[in-house]
Amino acid sequence: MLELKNVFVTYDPNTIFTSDALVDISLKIKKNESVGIVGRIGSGKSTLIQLFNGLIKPDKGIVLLDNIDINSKQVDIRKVRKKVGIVFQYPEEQFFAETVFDEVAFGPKNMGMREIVLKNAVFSALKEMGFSSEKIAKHSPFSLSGGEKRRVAIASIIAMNPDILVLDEPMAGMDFDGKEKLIKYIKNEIKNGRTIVFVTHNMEELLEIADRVIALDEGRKVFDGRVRDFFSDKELIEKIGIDIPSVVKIRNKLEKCYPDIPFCRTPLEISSYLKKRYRP
Amino acid sequence: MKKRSFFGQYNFSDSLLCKLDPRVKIVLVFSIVVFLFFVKTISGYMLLLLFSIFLILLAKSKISDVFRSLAPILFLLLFTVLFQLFFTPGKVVYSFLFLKITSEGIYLATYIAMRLMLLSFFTFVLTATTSNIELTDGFESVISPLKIVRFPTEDVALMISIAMRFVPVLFEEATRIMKAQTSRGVLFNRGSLMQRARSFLPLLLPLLLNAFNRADQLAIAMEARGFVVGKARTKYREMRIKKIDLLFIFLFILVMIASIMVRNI
Ligand SMILES: Nc1ncnc2c1ncn2[C@@H]1O[C@H](COP(=O)(O)OP(=O)(O)O)[C@@H](O)[C@H]1O
Ligand SMILES: [Mg+2]
Repeated sequence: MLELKNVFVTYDPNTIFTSDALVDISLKIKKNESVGIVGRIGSGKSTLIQLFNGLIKPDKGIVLLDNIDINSKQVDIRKVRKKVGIVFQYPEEQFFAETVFDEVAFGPKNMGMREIVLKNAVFSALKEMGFSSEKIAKHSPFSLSGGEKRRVAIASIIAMNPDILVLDEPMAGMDFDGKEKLIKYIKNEIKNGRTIVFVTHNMEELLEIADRVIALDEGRKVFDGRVRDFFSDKELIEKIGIDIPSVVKIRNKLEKCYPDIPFCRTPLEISSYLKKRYRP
Repeated sequence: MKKRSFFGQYNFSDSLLCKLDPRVKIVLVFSIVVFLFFVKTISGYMLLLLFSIFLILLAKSKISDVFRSLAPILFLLLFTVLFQLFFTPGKVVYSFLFLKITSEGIYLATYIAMRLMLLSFFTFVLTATTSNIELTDGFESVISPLKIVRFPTEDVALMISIAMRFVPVLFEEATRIMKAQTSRGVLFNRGSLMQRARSFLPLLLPLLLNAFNRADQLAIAMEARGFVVGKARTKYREMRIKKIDLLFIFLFILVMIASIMVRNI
């Protein structure tokens, strides 16, 4: 379990660039949760997730992983980074290896994984990200399509088998097809019991993947709760400037005639509710 | 890594030195740096040191900022000084195993250290009080007489300004890639020299690739907005020499003369 207690982060203190990126943030992320982090550009989302594996140290407050302060001297930071895997924005820009295999094996090797287990870890990570054939491992990572690159980059973190997988805007710059696949595989990770934290600007994705939403505004936490409650908080939605997904709008309209309609995440869920109702 | 500033980055203060004409500053700093090599006395260097400290304070920078900005070249500085100290032939004053310190070595090492330090101090003042745009505009103007020999001064100035413009971008990108690879278990600055060298490949390769991509995009974007190599462009800022510039020119000449005349103590 990951916990932040009254965390503050300030960039460039005592210069004219100084900015309070995070102000008094406290939160808990439990096992098997899938959490979406939303907020305007510059609201502190990327800063927040970098706290999770000690890439940034809080200026005030503490970060606990399984009740241990990750920034204390006794902690082996590599162990923390193995448990909390972060996929950065545009992760394919960090490729450097000759083959997809080496690229994906890089993390686990650094973490000291032994040769026999390594191969297995790499191929199962690739498989989880939707590469059913093992041939892909011999290709150059630079020769892949945009969507494939992104999935290889995510596989390179999954290969370390982190307890918590953190993704910074994983769908940014992807085409429709790529997005759809990615959503499918991320949802699969959740089903397999991995804790997922992801940053997004897309409310449809949020609705489809997340159970819980954390909203940031100017470095402050302004919402932390269930997705359905998030979209019914009109004032908040306006404040952080987002659109309510049409699925939620349609469902809310339908609720007036069908008060028993459940919370729906996709158009499919609405249609299957209606089908059930009319053709029981 | 929560700091964004690095070597002598423009500090956006309202100091007097920011108001000087960039051309004057460039020429003055360049002349005093060349001049450093003609000063032959310790007291001359002391005078210049005092002068540089005066300028640093006038630039509203802290001496500690200067030293912090020197950190990247500290190794080079130390190496040069130690090399001079131990490997200059002459009268031996102290020896330890195969290392010998000679009086000539001490003399040379002191001078080199002084020169390098003063060189960094003066250039620090220049870069801390002049924005990149002013620097390149000033530089372009200073080298413009070279046009007579068909030297492409405008293009060179533009190249330099683009390069400087991308220094902070590359710096930020390097930090970003470093963080990403750190998340994959790389520990930069740890392990043996060989291990360290190897840990830099996952940083350097993506950095280079992204830089090439960016350069491509920039070239296309510039052409799309009508840029043609070698064609004249209109200037947006005009530079003018003011009284305060004359004052500083006078001050610099005074200090230079004094540091040559002052007798050794
Ligand atoms: N490396 C950095 N140095 C200085 N300021 C930064 C740095 N990274 C982010 N910031 C500032 O911190 C704030 C939060 O940024 P960030 O966490 O990247 O927001 P988001 O990911 O929500 O867009 C912004 O005001 C940004 O300018
Ligand atoms: Mg961000």
